[in-house]
Amino acid sequence: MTAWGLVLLATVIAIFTAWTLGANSNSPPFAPAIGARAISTMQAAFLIGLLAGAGALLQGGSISETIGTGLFQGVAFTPLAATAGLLTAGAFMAVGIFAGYPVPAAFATTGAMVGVGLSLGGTPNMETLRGIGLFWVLVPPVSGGLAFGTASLLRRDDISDTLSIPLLAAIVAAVLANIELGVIPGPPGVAQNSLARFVAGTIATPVVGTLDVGIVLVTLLFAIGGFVFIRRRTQQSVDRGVKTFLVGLGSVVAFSSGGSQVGLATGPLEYLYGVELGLPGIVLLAIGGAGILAGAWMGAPRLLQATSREYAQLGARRSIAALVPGFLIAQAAIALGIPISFNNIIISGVIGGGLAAGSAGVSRRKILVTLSFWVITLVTSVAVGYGVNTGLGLVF
Amino acid sequence: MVGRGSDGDVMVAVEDPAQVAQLVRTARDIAQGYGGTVRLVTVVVKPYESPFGMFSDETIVQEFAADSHELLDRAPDPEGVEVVRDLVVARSVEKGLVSAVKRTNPAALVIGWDSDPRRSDALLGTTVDHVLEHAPTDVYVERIGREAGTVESVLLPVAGGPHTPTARTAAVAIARANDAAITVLTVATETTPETEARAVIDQEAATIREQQPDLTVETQIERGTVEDAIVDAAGAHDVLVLGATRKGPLRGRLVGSVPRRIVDGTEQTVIIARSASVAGGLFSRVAAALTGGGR
Repeated sequence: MTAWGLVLLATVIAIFTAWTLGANSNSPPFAPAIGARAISTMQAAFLIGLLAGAGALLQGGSISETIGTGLFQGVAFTPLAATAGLLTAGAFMAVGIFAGYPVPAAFATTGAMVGVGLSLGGTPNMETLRGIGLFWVLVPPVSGGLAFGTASLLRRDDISDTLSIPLLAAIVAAVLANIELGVIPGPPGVAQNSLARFVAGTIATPVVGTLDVGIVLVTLLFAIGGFVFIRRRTQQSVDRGVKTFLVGLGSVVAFSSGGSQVGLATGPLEYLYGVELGLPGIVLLAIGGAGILAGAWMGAPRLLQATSREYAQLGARRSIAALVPGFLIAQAAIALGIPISFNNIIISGVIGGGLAAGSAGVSRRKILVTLSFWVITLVTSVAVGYGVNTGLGLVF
Repeated sequence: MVGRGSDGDVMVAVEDPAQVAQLVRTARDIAQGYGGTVRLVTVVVKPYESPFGMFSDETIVQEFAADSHELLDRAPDPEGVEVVRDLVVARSVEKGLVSAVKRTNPAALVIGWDSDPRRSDALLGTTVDHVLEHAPTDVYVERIGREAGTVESVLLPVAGGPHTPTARTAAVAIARANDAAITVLTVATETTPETEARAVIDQEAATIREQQPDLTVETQIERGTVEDAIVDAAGAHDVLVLGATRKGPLRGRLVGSVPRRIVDGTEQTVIIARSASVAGGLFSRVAAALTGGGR
């Protein structure tokens, strides 16, 4: 097999992986909105595909680069190595889907790439790996805590819905002003820029200490805009305001999920496309984004139908509480370039939101089993990635 | 023999609203034969990737299983037998059914088989295969045909295998409940000469008459290939009860090619019977084969 054949094979596996991620990981954000009858299943599936695909294109670069070139120093991820990494991660995901085990894609891909890198004799970037590990350990408590706080706020009788829900909208809007997107032009040498920084840069606002007044102002404007918009809706009718917010929140979470998941499929190809073929990063993200879009359009309706009823029973408030950390943590991970399992955040959020209503009624045994599978995935994917790459190296 | 329910309960899997009425009818007929109750079971599926999969079974049943509650509540009450309704939480339909069988130890389990490949939400081959492989009880897989409103004639093809008694149990129970006749059929092939075939059906008919002296039992011998002969004969009957033929203890698929082709070639209601004696995974079957005993 020539190198070109391998490039093609690796690309096909990456598209398949992106398709799988789109079908499985990107659907949950709209399930609460469907459960609340704010949007139909087919409309939601259509939106998820577009939003997750757009998120992949505009925000997927940072995590993709971490997986592709950030884990090791002094290693050239040849087409063969990329194929080994993708094959390993893909095999783990396939086993997870067909045998029904919880196999987080982020763990399988990161583990596989670490294994491949080690087998290539690279020096691991311990700082990066430690950061990833710390982030992963923090996800459940932080996501659960954020959801618990949000659900507690929404449950309070002394704070009316016409205040609490617009407040959440203000927070979401303020974060939106500061997320970095590939399309917003930045100063020379900066690939991505946020809306707030872009506006601040064009008006040349003063800097106080380390704070750029312009950025703060734009952020505040966004927050006020989000607050006022949702407040008006809730004042007309709380139910309608909640529905509007669920659709809006679902949209930004779907967008974030695309940005946080695409790198798991495209990461192994980063070195190949960027360094060896010299293509701009957007090419690879477009390939991954298209895979996610197709997967979401084809797979989301079935998944949404299966879960929207459950979110309806969870209720709009606890659903909102489960989604808020999904947005915040996914954006934090994108900003830091850390691969994450989106599903882990949502699971922790649902449990955290449940705790706010008293006992969540979780099963300690099920949590332990799931955690064990996560750890097993991580450890074995490193070993398998190492073995597969070494094996392929002997054959070719 | 292990695996017989203490009082002949029959479990029926309630998964597809379109099939429920008919499956419950079959379960009732068999339960009356045993003098037991009918247990309606719906599996609440919570896969690992579901955010609701971490809750305890009690919480899931109370808070996150509205669809399953509705499905179970809508299932009709079969007349003439006692009914129990039960929700089981599991990672998949098949795992839930197998664990429910292990927990309640019924005499038999009745599940539906939607052989229409266009329907993806119904019980599919994988579910049926897993249940046949692992459920430690007699299993009846029913392919719903055109609604067998009145059952006047039951066809029981036999070739003498481990599943024959299981198939007979259901055929007799259905015939008795509906005042129907039973036709015992076998196919004379190159490997099974006519005298041997005759002996098989005569013996089977005698066994049935011994159990149920009031039933009308007829015998029939056909020639040619097994599948074609049975498909041709099926037209004259309302319900077919087949043994799940299988070649040897090591073959993975429990439903052999013969029943599959008969299901595809007929419009009748077809019930595939799988004896409890062949249940268990590969390991236990090998062990049983080595120790030369059943279970």
